Amino acid sequence: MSYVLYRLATAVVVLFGVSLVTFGFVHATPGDPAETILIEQTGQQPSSEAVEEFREAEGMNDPVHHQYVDWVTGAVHGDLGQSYFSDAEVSSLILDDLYNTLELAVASILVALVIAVPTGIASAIHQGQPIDVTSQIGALIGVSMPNFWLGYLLIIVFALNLNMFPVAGSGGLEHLILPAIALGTGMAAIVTRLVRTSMLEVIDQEYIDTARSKGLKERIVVYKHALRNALIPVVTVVGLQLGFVLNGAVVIEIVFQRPGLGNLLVDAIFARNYPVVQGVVLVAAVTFVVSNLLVDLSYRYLDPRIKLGESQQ
Amino acid sequence: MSGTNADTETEASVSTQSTWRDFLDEIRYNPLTLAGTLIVAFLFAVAIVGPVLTPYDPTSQDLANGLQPPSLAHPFGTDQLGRDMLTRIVYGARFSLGIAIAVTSIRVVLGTTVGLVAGYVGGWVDEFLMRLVDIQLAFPGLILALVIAGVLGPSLRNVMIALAIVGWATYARVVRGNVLSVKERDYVAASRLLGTPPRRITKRHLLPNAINPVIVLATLNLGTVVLATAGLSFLGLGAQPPTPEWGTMLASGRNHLRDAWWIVNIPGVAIMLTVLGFNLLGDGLRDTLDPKQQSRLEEI
Amino acid sequence: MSDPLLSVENLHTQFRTPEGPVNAVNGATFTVEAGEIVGLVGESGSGKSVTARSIMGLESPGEIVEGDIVFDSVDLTEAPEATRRRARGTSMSMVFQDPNTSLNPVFDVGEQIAESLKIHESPDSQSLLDYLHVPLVSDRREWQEHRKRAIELMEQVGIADADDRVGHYPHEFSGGMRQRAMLAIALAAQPELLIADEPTTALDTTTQARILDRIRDLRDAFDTAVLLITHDLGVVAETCDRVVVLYGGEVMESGPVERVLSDPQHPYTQGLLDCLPRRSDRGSPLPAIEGSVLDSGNSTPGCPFASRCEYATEACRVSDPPTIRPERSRRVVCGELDTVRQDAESERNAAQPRVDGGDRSIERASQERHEADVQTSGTIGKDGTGRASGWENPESRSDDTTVESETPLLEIDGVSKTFDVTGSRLERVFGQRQLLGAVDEISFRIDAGETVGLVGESGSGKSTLASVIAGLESPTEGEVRFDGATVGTVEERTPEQLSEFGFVFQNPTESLNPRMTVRETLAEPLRERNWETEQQDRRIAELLELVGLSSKHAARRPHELSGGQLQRVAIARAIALEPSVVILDEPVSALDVSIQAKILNLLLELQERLGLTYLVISHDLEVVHHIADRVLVMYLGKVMERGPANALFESPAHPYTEALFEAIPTLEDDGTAQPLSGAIPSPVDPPDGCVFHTRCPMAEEQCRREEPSFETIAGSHSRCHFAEDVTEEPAEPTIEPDNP
Repeated sequence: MSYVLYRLATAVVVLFGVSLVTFGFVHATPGDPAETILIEQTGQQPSSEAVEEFREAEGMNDPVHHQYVDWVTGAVHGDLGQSYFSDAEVSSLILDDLYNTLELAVASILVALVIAVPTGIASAIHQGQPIDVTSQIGALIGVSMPNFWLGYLLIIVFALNLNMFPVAGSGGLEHLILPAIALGTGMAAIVTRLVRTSMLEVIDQEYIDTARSKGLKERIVVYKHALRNALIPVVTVVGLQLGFVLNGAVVIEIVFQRPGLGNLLVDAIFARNYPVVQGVVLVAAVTFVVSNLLVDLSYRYLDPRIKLGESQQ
Repeated sequence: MSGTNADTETEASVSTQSTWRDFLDEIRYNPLTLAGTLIVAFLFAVAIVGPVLTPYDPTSQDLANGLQPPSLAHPFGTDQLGRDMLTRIVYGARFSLGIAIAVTSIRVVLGTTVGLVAGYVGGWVDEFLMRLVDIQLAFPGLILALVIAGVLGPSLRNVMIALAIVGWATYARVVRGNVLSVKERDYVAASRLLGTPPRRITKRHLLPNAINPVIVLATLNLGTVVLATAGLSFLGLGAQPPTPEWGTMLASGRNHLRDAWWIVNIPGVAIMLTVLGFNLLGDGLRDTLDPKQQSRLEEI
Repeated sequence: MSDPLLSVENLHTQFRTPEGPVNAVNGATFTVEAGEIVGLVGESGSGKSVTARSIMGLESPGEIVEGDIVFDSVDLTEAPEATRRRARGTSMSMVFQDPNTSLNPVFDVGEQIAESLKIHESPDSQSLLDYLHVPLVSDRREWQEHRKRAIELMEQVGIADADDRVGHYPHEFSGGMRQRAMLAIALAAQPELLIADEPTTALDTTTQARILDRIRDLRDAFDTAVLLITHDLGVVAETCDRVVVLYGGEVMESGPVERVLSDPQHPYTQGLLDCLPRRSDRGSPLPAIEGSVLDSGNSTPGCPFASRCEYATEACRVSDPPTIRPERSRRVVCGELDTVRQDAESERNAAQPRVDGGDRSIERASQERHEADVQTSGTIGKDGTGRASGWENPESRSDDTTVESETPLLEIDGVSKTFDVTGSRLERVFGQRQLLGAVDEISFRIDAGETVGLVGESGSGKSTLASVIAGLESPTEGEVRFDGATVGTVEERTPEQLSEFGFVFQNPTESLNPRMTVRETLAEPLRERNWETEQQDRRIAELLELVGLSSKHAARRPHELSGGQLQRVAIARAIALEPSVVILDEPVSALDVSIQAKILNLLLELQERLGLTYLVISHDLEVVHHIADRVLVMYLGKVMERGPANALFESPAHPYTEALFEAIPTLEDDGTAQPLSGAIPSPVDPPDGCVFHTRCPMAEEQCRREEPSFETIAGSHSRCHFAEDVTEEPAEPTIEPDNP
């Protein structure tokens, strides 16, 4: 129990740091955002009175730490401020797009697991044989391929030439499949390699010989005794890969012109729409921290050697 | 045999073997490592001498010759502005490799220093530095780099800064973990018994024994940085046109997917080959430098 | 005579390596009869584990390339995998060396035993879903039945509270308990043959004794044949009926245990027995087998031992030696047996009571020697001179008869060391600290030139005490004085004081920097003292010569040296700055028997040449007995007994010391020892009164309440209320006078 509390406490510390960094970066920007925004909004050089008025209205003249406290207090209550360019609440903008991004993330993780776990096991069991060599080379290529290029390749082949899927947009399964494959492949490659290594390591352990010495069939030795142990590190990495998926989602959403947090973020960055940028980064980081926390705690559940309540190491 | 104290009073017949020799063996016996080494060597050769050899200028436009498919005059075709793709790819290698090396070096130096200090000093210093690491790792890397690059303004230099800020924490973790385990080794205790000051213990015992995973990680990281640089440029936050950067080139092919496949695919292949080369080389180095692999043989 | 249960005939098991195929087993031939305990003995590299694995069908990645393994009249080498698997499930079982790695960490112990029961019942119909306990597919009633029987099995192997512990995971068990659980798994198959591969090597001596007991009991109860693989001849003597000596993957000698051990015929067996510390005079060099274990698997003809054998002739090297049967049921594979025998004969005639035929003259001889020693030490005790005078104890001055004559070289004064082992940071914040008392108020002194032995099981605090003395840890209380001056931690010591201490660690592969050459390792202390390069080179050459290495080793890195050579380098480093005290922390426990002997010889020789003072920490009483003048026995951070080595080893005055002795498997024992019950209590919460009372066979009410002080009995100091009774008790067989 106390480990959970300790872990929660560090998560809070990390989130505090995250908010500080997010806020800090945006406020350390060269140039006056107020002026930039007014130029953007009106299309002409604003008068210094207009700039001053805007700054006052947006709270930009308050001391920095006040602005930070206001922002964090708001964030905790689900209020991330307002977009500079519309009356929309940042939080509602994010909520609108969050679903799309999560849908893509979950789909691509599924794609990755469906490919990776069986391939990794087969690869480990048949170490050095053709199936292993093929899957290892496949995994290496998968790891090395930029996902935006894979996205275009998929579009060229399946959307433009075979007309099986739409080129872009969102809604429905047919809009999800290509992006999920483009995003899931890289992760599949990583997880395949991991399952293979983990499996090979476990198969070398003496308790596997114990299982064999009992007269168990090899199939049961592999799928009961080895797999359960081999999956422990895999779960951790898959959890941590959520960050990887969020990174990739930004790019893939651009490739497939899919609405989502990625599109929102990139647009906001170019428009210097800071409340939105801050909001998206904060949400991404919180998602990431929380998922890491969950993985860490579930890891302790999966591995009886690590009891809840024990300290690290 | 596979027992605990694998001590055979064998007069070891192996002569002095350096890591370098081990790596040459690895190249000889593992075709994948050989392939990786060749790819990386080839890329560096291209980046260094390539621009001298190409007859075209990477940025001069020739609109009349736009969207030419691959031919003898233009082996990789031309882009929508009529620029020779091969020339641009060759120049692009300089950017990709240069940035990869620069960014990785900064990450290694920063991360290793933090890891060494945290691991050796311990206490609240360790606690503080590791929370910094946690915070850095709490951001999905590319998203943070995206914001930093966006805030600083799109340019290759800012991409470098952004990527360096984003990636050092992994090294810190790895080095700290290694230092913590090496610190407990008896040879460090033996050195402490002589009164050797911490700085010399670090230099003589900790660093050399904790650095192997860093070399492996750095090699693999070169590939990741190439990918990230291309990704940021692809999003428009890195190199700006007309710079012949692979990610930018790929992005510019967006509207010609149907009629000029080479514009996206050739930079795509270039990026993939580069990353593949570094990955293969990194795997090979891991085989050479990771003592776990060597103990496999001793168990027999 | 009916067919034996197991018959291994000319077995060759091969491994492929980048350097070509290697035969780990190279023609081994032996049998195991039903109900018989056979010891398979050999040093590491002898192929004993691979032999066991080949019998079980676990030789992969090796491959049986030649020979037969006939079990229950079936040749397993030719049988299909299904047959071998059925044999594993129903009639043979294996217990592995390290119980920490041989149990699956993610299943509870009950599951792992129940599974074995299930296989035994229906070895041929195993369905994955059933074994994964998928609801509806698997038979829950059967499973519950198996778990119930698992509890019975756990009780049978001596796991207390089996009801409760059946649901525990392996990590919640102690090492000894894990090995019992492993034994329960093995027994679930009701095997006809149990193969135990070094089943007690990873355990403490007292735990080892109990596990071996259990194996013998099980044989007696179920008539199970046991193939016991071990490097420890003492274990063989205590447990086995027959012994098979393996070297280089070939059998050197086999026969009934009492015959082979009392009258070894093969030169290798003779050598192995001679290297045991207890077989020779205390403090004198141990006979060592020259040379080193060959790379196993030279499949060339010739005796594998020829290169190290003093009797070897050209014929031994080029052709396979003949198998000779000196008597019924004994086999010796040696080409020069006549010469060996003649040699033994002439030695006997020369009144050298070496290993000789038939009777136990060696025991008698050593017994006489022991008795003589006791007398000598008695005299020393009385007039207060000689080596054994150093028992000045500031804590209990009154019970010491000696007068403090001079400043001791090293004085440990009331040293305690506690560690903070508070589990979580949260508890730390709330001040609920848990303290582990590793060392509790220990005082003793060491005089120049003597050797003090520190004995105890793991967890007794002996290594922590060594770290405090060396200055790696600071004492929580008390102090260490060197030459009268208080010395603190290494950070507080002067360079001169630091140079006075040498330290040799247990595991040489851990104690040498893998990236530094031998020269660099040896130069480190010299560089720290700012020696000139030229001086350094001279000193390094000198050091290498001192520890018996040659200059060609200087350029090597640790992975290019053997364990024995590594320990020599570690010793050279320890003496590089000409220290007066060398602390030896388990200096030979990571080494093979024949190498142990060489390292012990080296240590004795160095002490003589350089006038060193030794503090030897070891769990191995025989090693301590061999080299120490005085001994301290530690338990739970406290000294239980201390005294001159002879007195203490002849007539222990503390029940713990006595129990430690009884637990050692010795060549002479016949298995009547009463092993210590229970486990070492947690040092976080040590028992009240005498810390040993929870396991002491003599404990009474007084022991639970009052902590005893030191009693002086027969030259030793014992921290026991009933010290007198201990010495009066009939001594155990090892030291019982074996009057003819």
